[in-house]
Amino acid sequence: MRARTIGLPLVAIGSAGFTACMVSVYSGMRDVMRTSGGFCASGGPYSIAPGHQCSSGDVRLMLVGILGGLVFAAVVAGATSWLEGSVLGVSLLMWSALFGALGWNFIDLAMNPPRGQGSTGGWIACGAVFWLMALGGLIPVLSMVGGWLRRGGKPDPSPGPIQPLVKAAVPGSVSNPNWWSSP
Amino acid sequence: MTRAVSIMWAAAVTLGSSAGIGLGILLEHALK
Repeated sequence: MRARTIGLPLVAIGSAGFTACMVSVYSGMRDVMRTSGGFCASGGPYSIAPGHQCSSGDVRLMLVGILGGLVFAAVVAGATSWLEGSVLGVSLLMWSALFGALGWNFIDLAMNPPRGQGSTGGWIACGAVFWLMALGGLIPVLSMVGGWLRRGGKPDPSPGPIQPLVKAAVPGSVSNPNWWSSP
Repeated sequence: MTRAVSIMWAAAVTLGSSAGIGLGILLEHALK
């Protein structure tokens, strides 16, 4: 009962935080792609090419988005585990959401490139890889949801005791108590 | 996880994610 009253609000808070951080990464990435052609740098001993200096806003968006996203993903996974739900399922769901959204950035801006942007073949390739990675998480999640629906919403049955594949042949056991004296 | 808790879990995720989109837009304006 306690898990339910605290766990469910934690799931909601974690989901809200994770999504907010994902939006932050999404917009930071989109901004870098629009203004700097998809890559930027700041600080360090090297001179950075003009037009590729990271803006402080983008750095903040990416840092808060990535670090916050990790923290809130852990909150969602922890609360789901407390509720005896599938941690693997919810983790794969977050994985798919992240790579699906970022893959959309690549595909969308490759189709509608910013002014002055040259070839966008690399962005299409990145978008395709990101969507494949998202699909790799989404297919098992859909399979889990399908299994849950087929069971009528009942919990996954426990596999029961596992029989050992190999048993030790202990001398003097029931099968042959006089094994050492036999000719 | 029982059926009731699963449904409440899905509702919490949907509600949280929807609120998260709005929060994310606010966060974007605050950080940019």
